[in-house]
Amino acid sequence: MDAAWTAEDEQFRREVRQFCAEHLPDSIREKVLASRPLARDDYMRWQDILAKRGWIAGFWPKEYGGCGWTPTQSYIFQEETSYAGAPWLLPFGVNYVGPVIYTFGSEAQKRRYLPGILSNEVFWCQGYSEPNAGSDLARLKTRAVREGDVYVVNGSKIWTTMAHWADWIFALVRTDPSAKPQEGISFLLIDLKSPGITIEPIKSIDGLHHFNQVFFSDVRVPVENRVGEENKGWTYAKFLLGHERVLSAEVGKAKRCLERIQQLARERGLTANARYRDRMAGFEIDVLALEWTTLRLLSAVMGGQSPGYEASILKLRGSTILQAMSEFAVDVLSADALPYQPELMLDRINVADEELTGTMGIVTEFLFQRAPTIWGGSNEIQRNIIAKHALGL
Amino acid sequence: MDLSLTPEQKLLQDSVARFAAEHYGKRKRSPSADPSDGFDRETWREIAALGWLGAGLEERNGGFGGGPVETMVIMEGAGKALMSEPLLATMVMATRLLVETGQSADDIAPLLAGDEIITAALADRATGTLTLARGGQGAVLSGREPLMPYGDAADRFILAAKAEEAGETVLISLPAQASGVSRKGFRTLDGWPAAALAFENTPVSEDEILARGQAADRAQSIAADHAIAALCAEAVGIAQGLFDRTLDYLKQREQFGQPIGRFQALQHRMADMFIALEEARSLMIMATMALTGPEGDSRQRTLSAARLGVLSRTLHIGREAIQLHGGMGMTEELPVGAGFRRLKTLDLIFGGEPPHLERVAATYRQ
Ligand SMILES: Cc1cc2nc3c(=O)[nH]c(=O)nc-3n(C[C@H](O)[C@H](O)[C@H](O)COP(=O)(O)OP(=O)(O)OC[C@H]3O[C@@H](n4cnc5c(N)ncnc54)[C@H](O)[C@@H]3O)c2cc1C
Repeated sequence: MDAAWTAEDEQFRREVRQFCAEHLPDSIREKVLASRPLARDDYMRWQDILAKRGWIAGFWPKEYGGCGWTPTQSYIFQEETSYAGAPWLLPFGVNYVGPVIYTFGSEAQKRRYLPGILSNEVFWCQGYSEPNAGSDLARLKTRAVREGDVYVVNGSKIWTTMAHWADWIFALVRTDPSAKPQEGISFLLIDLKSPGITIEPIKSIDGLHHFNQVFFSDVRVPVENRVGEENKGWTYAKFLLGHERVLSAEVGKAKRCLERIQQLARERGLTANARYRDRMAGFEIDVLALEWTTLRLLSAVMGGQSPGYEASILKLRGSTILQAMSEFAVDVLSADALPYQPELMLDRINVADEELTGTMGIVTEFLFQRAPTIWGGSNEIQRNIIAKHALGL
Repeated sequence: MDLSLTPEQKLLQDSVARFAAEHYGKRKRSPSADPSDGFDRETWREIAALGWLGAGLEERNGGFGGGPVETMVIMEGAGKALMSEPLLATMVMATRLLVETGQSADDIAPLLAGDEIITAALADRATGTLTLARGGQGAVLSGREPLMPYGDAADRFILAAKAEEAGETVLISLPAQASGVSRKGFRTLDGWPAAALAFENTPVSEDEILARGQAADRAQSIAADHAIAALCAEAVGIAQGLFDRTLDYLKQREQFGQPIGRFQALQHRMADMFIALEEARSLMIMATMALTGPEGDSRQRTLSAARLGVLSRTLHIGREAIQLHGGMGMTEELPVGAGFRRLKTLDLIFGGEPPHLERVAATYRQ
């Protein structure tokens, strides 16, 4: 046993840290650190910077334009960038659809779609959930009927994060309604500019617009946009969900959150309060447990094991700890958390010292942090996975 | 001992539920989703006409001879329907401050009739930021009140200021139109209206002063007692509403070929929420009963304990309600998030949890 990072990893960490210090624009970092809502441009600007450095898809194999990072390097990258206050690197293209395409897609698909992800020119969103298919994705009903060399798609997808900003959607559609639920599903890449698509905003609990319902009415999608085999989409979908969960520990963000609460408490003269210090100590221990569990998983993955139920532990704990910390941040703000009108924050998106809106981002964060325990396979579903696959129950 | 409602109190409870069903039953969206839904003067007049505003007041104060139980019944019903009218700020806080500073029934009548909306601050940080100084003819008020509930709609505010010379608290009742007052409206965490008020040499006449010194401190402290019991009742009402919706959802929503309520993991969660709700209701009753006993430290401690117990339990129900609704729980479309936001708001007013925890825990220092 040896808990030391390798010299290469240490070197890589320094490099990422330095890069963030030099290239992450102040205006973006300030917004992220204050949890203020980001505009599409904020995400794109940072991703352009990463794309230029060749770091947007660092964990991709070199042959597809990545850097072939080890899992440890990917972890270091995520920890360092999020700790530095970089925006969430939107996962839809890089982490989700990209790997599906280079793993299961045709040569033509790789040539056509991967460059747009690497150059940050094409914005993707994820079309899995439907009004009646959430935890039980196999119940999805959106139909794709084959007519010669196109699929005609009808139905709707819901909770589609950032669909209003996206260019393309990757969707699970039912191609064989008579097959068993998990079969008869295909994985389609759909241009959101196709006729017959409408996107309706859904406002979330924080009063902001993050997600949407996407309606498909006789949308014609070329058959060549299907990834892999017809009716085998479930396999690709599951592969993608595995990637989604490994990302969700967010150790860097958790550490930053801890520091922010401490700073808020200092500003409010709370640090002398024993109860405050107890809570902070508890959170710190939670974050350490999360970090070391992540490191153990990394070490196993580096040793050749593929992540299984361990990813569920990270998803479950990572989301729960951040949720509790974001609520505690509001408790520390006390009455300062009461004014909350998100439109004001959007109007003055870069004015952090505005009296009324100065700390509103923390409130937004508190409200929105109810989501990670629900999305990406709810925490109840993660417990089911652990019970079944780790415990054999 | 009889912890059940009298027939008259049951009638009041039904009347609140009927009114809520008529006015709020069809409303799907939360107050924050629709600005026009925030607060409506006409609805307020109807509420007044139903006699709610005087229901918890003794007859000598212009009320109907009721007490804390009547207030509890109204607040619980209002919470369940997520009514966004100024019940806590006006019916409870402002009215109680007026009563405890010895205002006459005639003075209180316009408030009880719904003609005059008088609000008082609920966030405790306001105390001390306003100063009353000697000015030209009499006294002048300066400073800021950063969060006055319904500050834009109110006709009159009750404010606590520090007298510049004596250093004592002065309770003032000031018309919103007084000179030197500016207000800036915004919404709060629950989506309800509030305003930041600024005063610049606003003249305050002797008859606008409700109380000074010890009398003012005592009135404030008693009003806070009443507000805390009312807050407990509102929280229980909200939690009941969230609980009912969630139970319903668990029976309706199907995943994996069955209603999700068939999953034992969720059944146990619901059972725990049910227990939490029962306990919260018990603490709410304890708080209400405390108001019928003598004032003082012991009563305050009981109220703080109730406030802590009720909010920890109802907030738990709020968090679970969102989680068990899945994606639907994250939308503004359903009032689940709105209920949670209101519960968290109730958790943050009056200094939040710490002072109450301090009050309860202090006993163990001995
Ligand atoms: C903010 C946000 C963004 C999202 N973005 C996207 C996106 O971009 N693309 C996309 O496709 N989807 C997205 N989702 C959808 C998300 O993945 C689903 O909400 C999630 O899978 C849960 O499904 P559901 O909402 O239908 O809840 P349901 O499946 O109806 O679940 C309701 C409740 O029942 C529980 N439950 C269900 N089944 C079981 C069981 N077997 N045992 C125990 N408990 C159970 C759940 O845990 C939950 O508490 C997003 C969701 C949110 C909240």
